[in-house]
Amino acid sequence: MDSNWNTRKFIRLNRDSLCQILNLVSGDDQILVIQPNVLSLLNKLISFTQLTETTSVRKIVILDDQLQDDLANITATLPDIKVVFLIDVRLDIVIPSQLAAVAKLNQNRELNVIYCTFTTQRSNRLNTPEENGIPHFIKSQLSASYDGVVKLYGWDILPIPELGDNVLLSHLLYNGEGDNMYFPRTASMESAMRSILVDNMVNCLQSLFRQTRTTVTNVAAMGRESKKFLNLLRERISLDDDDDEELFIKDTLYGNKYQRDFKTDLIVIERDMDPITPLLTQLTYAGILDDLYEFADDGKLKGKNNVELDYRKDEIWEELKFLNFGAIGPQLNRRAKDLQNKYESRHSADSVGEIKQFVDSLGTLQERQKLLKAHTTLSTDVLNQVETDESLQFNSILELEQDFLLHNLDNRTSCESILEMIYEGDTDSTRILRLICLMSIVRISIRDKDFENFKKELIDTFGIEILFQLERLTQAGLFTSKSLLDSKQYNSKLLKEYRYISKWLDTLPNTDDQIPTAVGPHLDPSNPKEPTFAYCGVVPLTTRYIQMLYDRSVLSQNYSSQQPFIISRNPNLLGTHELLEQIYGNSDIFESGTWIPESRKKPSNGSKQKTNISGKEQNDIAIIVFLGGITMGEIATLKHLQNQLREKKIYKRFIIVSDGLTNGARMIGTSSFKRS
Amino acid sequence: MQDKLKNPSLNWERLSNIFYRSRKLCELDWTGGKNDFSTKFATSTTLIAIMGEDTLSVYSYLGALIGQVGSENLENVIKFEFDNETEKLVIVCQDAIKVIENWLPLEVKSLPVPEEIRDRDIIWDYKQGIVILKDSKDIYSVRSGNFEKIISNNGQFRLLTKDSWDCNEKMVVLLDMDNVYHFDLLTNDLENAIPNSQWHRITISSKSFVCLYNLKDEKIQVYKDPQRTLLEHTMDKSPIDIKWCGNDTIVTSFEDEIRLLGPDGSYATFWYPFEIVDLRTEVDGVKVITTNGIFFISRVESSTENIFRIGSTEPGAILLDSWKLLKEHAPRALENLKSFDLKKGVLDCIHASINEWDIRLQKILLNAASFGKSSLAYKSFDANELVKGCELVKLLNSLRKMGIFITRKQYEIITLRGLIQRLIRAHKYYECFQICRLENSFEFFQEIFLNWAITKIKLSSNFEDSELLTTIERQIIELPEKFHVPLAKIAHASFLEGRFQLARNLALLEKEPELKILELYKVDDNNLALTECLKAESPELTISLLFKLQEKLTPVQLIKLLILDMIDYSLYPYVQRNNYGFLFDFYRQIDKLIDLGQLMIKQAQQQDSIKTFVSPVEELYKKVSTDALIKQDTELLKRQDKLWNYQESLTNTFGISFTEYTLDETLSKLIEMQQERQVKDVVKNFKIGEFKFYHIKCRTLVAQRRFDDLMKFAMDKKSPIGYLPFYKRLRREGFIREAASYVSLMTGASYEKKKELLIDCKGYKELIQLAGKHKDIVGLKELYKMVPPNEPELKVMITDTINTL
Repeated sequence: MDSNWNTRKFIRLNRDSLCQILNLVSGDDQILVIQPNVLSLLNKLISFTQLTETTSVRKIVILDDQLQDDLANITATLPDIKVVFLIDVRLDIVIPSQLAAVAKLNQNRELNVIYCTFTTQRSNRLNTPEENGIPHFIKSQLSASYDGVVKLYGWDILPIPELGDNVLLSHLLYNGEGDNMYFPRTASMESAMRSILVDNMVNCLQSLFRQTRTTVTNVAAMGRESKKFLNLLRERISLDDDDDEELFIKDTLYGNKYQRDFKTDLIVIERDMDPITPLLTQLTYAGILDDLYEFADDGKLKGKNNVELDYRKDEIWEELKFLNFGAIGPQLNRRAKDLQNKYESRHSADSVGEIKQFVDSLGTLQERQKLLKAHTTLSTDVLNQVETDESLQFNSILELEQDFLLHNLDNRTSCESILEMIYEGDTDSTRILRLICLMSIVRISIRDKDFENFKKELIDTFGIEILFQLERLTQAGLFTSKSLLDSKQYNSKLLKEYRYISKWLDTLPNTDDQIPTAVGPHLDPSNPKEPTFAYCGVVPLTTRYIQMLYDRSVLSQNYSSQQPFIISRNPNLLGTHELLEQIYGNSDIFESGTWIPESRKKPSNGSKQKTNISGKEQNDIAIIVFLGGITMGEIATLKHLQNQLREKKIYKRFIIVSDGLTNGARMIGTSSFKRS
Repeated sequence: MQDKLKNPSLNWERLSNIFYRSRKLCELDWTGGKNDFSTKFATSTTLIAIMGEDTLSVYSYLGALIGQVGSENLENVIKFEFDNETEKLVIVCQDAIKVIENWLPLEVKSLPVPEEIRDRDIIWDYKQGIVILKDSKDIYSVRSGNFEKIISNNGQFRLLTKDSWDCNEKMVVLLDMDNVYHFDLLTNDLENAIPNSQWHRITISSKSFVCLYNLKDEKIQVYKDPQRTLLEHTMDKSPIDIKWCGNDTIVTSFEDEIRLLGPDGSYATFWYPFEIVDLRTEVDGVKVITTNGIFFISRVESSTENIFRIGSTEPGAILLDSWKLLKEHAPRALENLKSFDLKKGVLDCIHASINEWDIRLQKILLNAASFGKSSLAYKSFDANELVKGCELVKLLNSLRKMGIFITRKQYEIITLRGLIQRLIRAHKYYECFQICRLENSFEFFQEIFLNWAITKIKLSSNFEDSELLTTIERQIIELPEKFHVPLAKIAHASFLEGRFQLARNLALLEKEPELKILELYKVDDNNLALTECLKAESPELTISLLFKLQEKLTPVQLIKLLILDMIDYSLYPYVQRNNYGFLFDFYRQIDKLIDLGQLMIKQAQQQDSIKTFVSPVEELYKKVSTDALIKQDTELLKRQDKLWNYQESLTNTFGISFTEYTLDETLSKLIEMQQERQVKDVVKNFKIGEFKFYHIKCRTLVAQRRFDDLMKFAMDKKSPIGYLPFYKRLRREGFIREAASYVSLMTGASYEKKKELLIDCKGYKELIQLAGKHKDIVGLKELYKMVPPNEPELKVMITDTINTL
């Protein structure tokens, strides 16, 4: 099972299927017209030279307002060239207006459109020519302005690994207008946009399962959309027709005849379960970079185009990205010394053989030196910004976050600190809103007087537009007042004050480690006991929830000693409903169970972890689907959790599949129509 | 059955070195005078068609009625025959060729003679898709589904009787008075193959062997290549019929006698106790239809011959012997196995069992095979052979029970698919399923079920919709799990039959959402189609349907539908998100004022003209009195209005536009312009807090470098925000000297804090004084080291202070 999940393979599969479609479209020379939002994916898969070598694509044009002119120029010199469009309207549904415009002007030409989709997308079955049928929605939109033949080709996409082999991002969180599909700007659109997101993510997972021939055995869902997701996925899988081979495999692996020890967990969790984490300042290397510069869809940092952070090529990045930023300096230092020693070794090289060895390794040494230099520059830049840029207010915000979470400040002091920050006028609205929302959530609500005061002050400072942004945040339950809660028209995301939640789930563990700060030194940063390193000493709620599925040691110590198990190989929510009821007011949105019942035959070696002949542990695949965006910090802490479980003899390989990355700026930013 | 099993070879007949045998397929034990062979009839591999007084009936070999054609389809009928490939009944009339596609309800595909021919000519004869016209004797092919002229006669040849031509897949042979013409259907070449020869009857085998018969000389000639005669035979009496047995031997029939002709005048004879009425060539033999039963003459296969030929020492025969010995002399039986090629023996036994029809013989042979197989080395023999053999025996046996008497070779040609199609045409659905189960071929289930259900719907005109639905549902339960029932197609059929309710209910049972929705849409139940579509939770599917509905419905109807089914699901508004006209309308209609307000704001921000939209939004918000948040926000919008009005007046007063400013910026601007009165107004009218005022003023003054004003402002009264913000602001802007002067004002701060701040802004002078006050000698000494060497003055000051201490 493990080997089926060689995620790097997905890149090749995506590439091959595109080339195959392009060759299917026609053997004549082609211009490929690409919608800009497909570009970043395409760049990750194939270079232009590769594309021209394997297909008949000769030119690439971007689908924008210039398109008419570009096409006219090209067709003037190459009249027989075929125009092929490549679009992605999985989230937008609406086709780009430029495409409709081009179609309108070229009534006589055949229209070839490749669109991104998933193999399992039901609507693809509409794409068969049948009279009186219901046409595919792309076709019906085109036929509004175009009478000719529309040929649609679905390009089936698999999510590809980014940031690490076990992190698959499907880039389905933000639509063409930059609106968040999970938490859109307009509250009334939420039902539609979330349904589109869930549908796409279900298809994404189903295609993955098909590709990897995975059968899920155990499942857990946390959250409303997650539960919907799980039900939909199961229903769709049940509609799948298995071929005989598939049935045979399933019967052998999971049937009653044989003892089985294959487990594949599917855990679905969503942003609403933990609204706190993305509001916090991130402290991992990757997280801090994301906060300061933001990772674009193509995996590069905005405004730092010369820095290429590819975990497959850059071992320093691969090792450091999820460490606390405070640990980066020493690590880089160690590497520098190491590198120096290697260079020095030439002095001790006496024999021709040794010298040859040194010369041979020179290439990789230079390569390493280059990487080391890049990372040193990058982290120095970060350090400079954090220490000197007043608009960031990095340390004071970090301090406030910590105080809020620890419940160190009373209402008045909390408000005053935020107001002072507003008055000082250095900090942008997004950072202020993050703090206000954080304060509201950890206390369930804000006192009416403060609530109104905040609104007034924010409008005075940032203008009237912010009022509507605040409205949106209130509708989302991120910023509420006591009387609004009492009116029952509005809710808070969490119904229990954070100080209780943090106690029950021990999210603020009293480790002996000094609470890490961004720049200060702290103890043994490379091997922390608890995953508090990604934020200001706090373990993300989501991480604790996922831990809770397997390991109840935290709950049994801090919540109730009556736990149905302490450690379990199957993810299980048993006995947590009371806790979740208290936090969310509704435990129906949580669900765990098995899709393939345990075989009746008990494994002969008891419940011991299966070890193969070489004595190496086998990992169960545990797919963690994260709806509504995941933060860098959460990825880092989940990785830590995986190792923590390993110490307790639960061998899981966490594969994170998420619709996209999020952080405070993105989350608050998308609540406004104005997004820079 | 108790009689001792005879060696089957006892009634074999030998022709040169090949054995032939005749076996009885079945009795023609029919009641009611159907076997009155005086009337016209036709046979196929599994069926017999008989013309009655005014109906044409088709029966299975066992006499079960399959279907009937009434007189309305039998006008001017010339002949009827079964198509060799599909076994569909073809009725040849003078002006049309009718193919029976389905028996119940009767479905006739009629191919009329084209008009330009009909005017002058009619059909004379027809054989397997080749038509000859009566007058012109032009030849047409209808194999492609329409009349295609292949030979224009133009008086080239004359055909005397209908026996004087024949055709197969590849060629047509015509017997002219003095010539034999060959026409190649692939190359369309007409060739006079044997000029100047007279023949009166002809029959062609499927492998294009041609057999000619001369009535006068009673001579039979066989050739493939006209230049080389393969066989010549002079008969002592004139045969009633001449046919091919398989594709390599000529059979002649007389009243009760069948002769198989061999080389050099040799022949083998089979006698029958009843009158022979017809011969029918099959791929591996010939069927003899007598008034009492049907017999099948075929060559004895080599495997059978090896085993049963008297005195055979072939492996198969020895294996069978050994098996028979097993009971009494086990050791010898086993010993025997070593003496021959066991594998060949096993294979022979398996093959022979497939060729036998007697179940007892089959058992014996398979037992022997199994016995022999178990002594074969593992891997030297593929056990699947035996399994496949057994399955085939089982299949053929059960087919025989159904009245389908076919041999292995015939089955291979018909194939499972063909068999199923034949059974479906005969409405033998249960048998279809049986065969599929025997063959483990479930891929035909869908087709079978579909046919069954559609036929059921078509034929049950007196049933209620609900009855039909339950019948179909009951059958679905019987089907194996995971099997997809094409209910949408069935629904469509019932729709075409005018059963709308049934169509709807069937469509609802369809598992594949897109098929279901399409069908419901076709039934014209838009509402149901949409609600079902929503259940599939596939937005792309839903939107495709909505786009289609948008074409079909008026905007009012569409909105009604949306309100009915999707009031809380905003998919359609999402797709129309940039179509403000539609959305304004829509939200107004469904009374979603808050959404409407937010839409306005969205548009405002995109157009960067927020000001024009705020008061309409305010108006809208006022109408929503129940929402606590909106109520609050209405107040804030009012306040904004007030600000704009005030800014308007400022703009008028000062001639600079204020309207783009926020309140804070307005205040800051006024401070900058030193309009103290207005500043006070703003603070009062907009209830600006002291804290904020101090921050703003401090910030503005620093930005303008009005340091004296700043100091005055700071000293005017004790700053409510303390002096750290002053310090910070100055320090940030780089005015360190000015910043230092505010440190001493911070009365609440500790010495350590102040020291830190002063060091940071290089306020050494102030620090020395401060340290002096705090008697911090250590601090001073440290400071001494810190002070840059080009500041001797400071150094002196430090030493002085230390000295005084």
